[in-house]
Amino acid sequence: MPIHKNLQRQVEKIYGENTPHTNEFHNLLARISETYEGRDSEYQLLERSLEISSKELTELNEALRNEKAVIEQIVEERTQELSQERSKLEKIAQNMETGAILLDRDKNVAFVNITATTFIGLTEPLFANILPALYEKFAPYPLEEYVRCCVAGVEDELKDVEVEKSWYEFKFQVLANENGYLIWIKDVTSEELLERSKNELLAIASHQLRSPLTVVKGNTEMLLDETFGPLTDEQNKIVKQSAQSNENMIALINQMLDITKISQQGLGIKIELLPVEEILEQVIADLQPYAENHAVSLQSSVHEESGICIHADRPRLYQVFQNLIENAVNYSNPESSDAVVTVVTRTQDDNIIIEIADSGIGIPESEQSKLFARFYRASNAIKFAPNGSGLGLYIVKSIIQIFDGTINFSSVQNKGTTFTITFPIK
Amino acid sequence: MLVFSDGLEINGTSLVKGILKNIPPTVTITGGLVGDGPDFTETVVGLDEIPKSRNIVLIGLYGSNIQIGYGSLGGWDSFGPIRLVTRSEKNVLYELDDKPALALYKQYLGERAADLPSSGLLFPLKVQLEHDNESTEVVRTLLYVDEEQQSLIFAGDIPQGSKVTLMKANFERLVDGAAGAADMSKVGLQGMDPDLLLLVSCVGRKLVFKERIEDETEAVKETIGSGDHTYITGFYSYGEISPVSPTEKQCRLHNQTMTITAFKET
Repeated sequence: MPIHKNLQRQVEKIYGENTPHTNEFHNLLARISETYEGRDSEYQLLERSLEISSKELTELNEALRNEKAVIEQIVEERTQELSQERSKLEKIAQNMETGAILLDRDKNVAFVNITATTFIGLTEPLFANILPALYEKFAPYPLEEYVRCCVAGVEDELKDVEVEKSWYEFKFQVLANENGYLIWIKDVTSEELLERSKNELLAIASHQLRSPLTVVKGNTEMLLDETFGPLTDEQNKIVKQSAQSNENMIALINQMLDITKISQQGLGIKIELLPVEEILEQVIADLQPYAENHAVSLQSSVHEESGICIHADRPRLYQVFQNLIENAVNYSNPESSDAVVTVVTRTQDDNIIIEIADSGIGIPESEQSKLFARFYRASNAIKFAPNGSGLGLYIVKSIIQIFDGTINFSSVQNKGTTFTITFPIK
Repeated sequence: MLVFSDGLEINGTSLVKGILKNIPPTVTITGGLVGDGPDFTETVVGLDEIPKSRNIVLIGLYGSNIQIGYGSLGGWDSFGPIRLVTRSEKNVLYELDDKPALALYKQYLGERAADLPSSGLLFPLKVQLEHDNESTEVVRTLLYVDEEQQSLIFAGDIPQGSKVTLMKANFERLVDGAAGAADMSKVGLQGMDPDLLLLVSCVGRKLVFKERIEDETEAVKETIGSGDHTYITGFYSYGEISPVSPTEKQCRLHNQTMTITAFKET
């Protein structure tokens, strides 16, 4: 049996021609030879393993290089795209009618468009000068405070900013992930002037209309009192209709005048501490005959002597309650044998809450969001009572807001509506 | 409980799982899948009958007078990089690192690839099994190769997503492994000499030892140290069944190990 060549060489070197030929010696040589071969085979295996790993590493390296080249190409293309996109956006931002100032995370100005620098009055906009110039230009308004609140995470708006016969609106926005902050400046001078002219026109027109209507009112009252002699039944009917139409017209003009005053902040309001529930109870008592005429049961759960006071103007507060309760009565279904309007008050935290609920025609869900808009009337309300102006709720809400209150409602069509007013207790 | 099963017609992992599912957790199983040397043609098992293929024999031992110990160790060295099993199904391995498993395996075997599957007994796989955030290692022996599918079929499962390394034989460490298994088996006998040792040794080990195969049984005998008082019996297997440590009851299928069950009747 052939033995490993290294072993063979050693045996020949040591024994030469005197190599023993016993079985034991041959068995020993065979086992040693096997060990040699085992080692050789293991060496070859490890060599092959290293070769495979080395080849794989080379391939992997090549693949990574290719991958890197592809990624670099993508990054290059994307960078170009982003740069083009950025330049496009910058052009849009520069030419916007709204002024924009962008602050970075560290509250330094990172971008300002031409519109903003024009509003501020800077010809050479150095970023470092923008904010000081902004604060100085609009000095009577605490813009610095608004910016401070914005970088603290509070978004806000500032309207009716009047400087040098121009009007502006400001918006302070926090960008996503607090990556920066945006100050928007909008010049609303033309809108403001238009609104003012409209209100002036409305005021003049209303005044001019009211005078002849007052004359008509006096004349019809005299006719109905038969100051000028008795009227036939038919004459009486026609004069009554004229008097009613005249009343409707006067009410409408009064409402339009109210709106003009509200927008000009000239309602002639006198804010004082008022016992809210006492006034509410007075309105309810005054409207009892009105409700009876409409076959509606007006019920109240008002704590007249609670002594709870709010800051408000007496005649306007009366007007708010009167308008809402009249509405509740007007839109109750007269065919229903148990038409009820309920007025309930309660306190919650530091507020008084007044709920006026009816079981009337309700407001269609799709129209509920527009209810407080000027001249808006719900479609079913127009069919039910064609003569309304659509101004009442707008006026009510505007007055409540002047008294720091809020008004909300919940309504289900053909089931009824509940208005909820909240005023802070003083 | 002793298990003797057909070694070719059965998935050893499923066999162990199936038995464990149906016996109380306090019962330990040992044994193995019987072998057919390097031929992989037919394996037979029988009890009080002529042994035949597709047979499984279970023998339950109980009583306060019998003490049983067990131990199982391999002694193989891993080599080459750790590879990810990217495609496998039960005990069939298709892809390693997204490359066909058979082609890669043949690259490592070199000229010995011509003798597959029997030469595969010398190059098992070490498989890292992840279970409940715990990692255990088992060795898997190659049973067949499928040239058409370029796949390797092992004597136990190779889960997809597990990491594997090739292994090679090391003569001295295999002998040490057998001695270590004997040492482990003594733990269960609490210092008493065993009456009987059941040795289940992988066919792969026999192929490595060749005519020096008695070295591993001698190492076991020497470690037990009870001389002729202990009877020794056993067989060369295609898979061994035993817990992984002498104090544990959780049984697993092993490959390429010397697995010993020691008995003492008092």
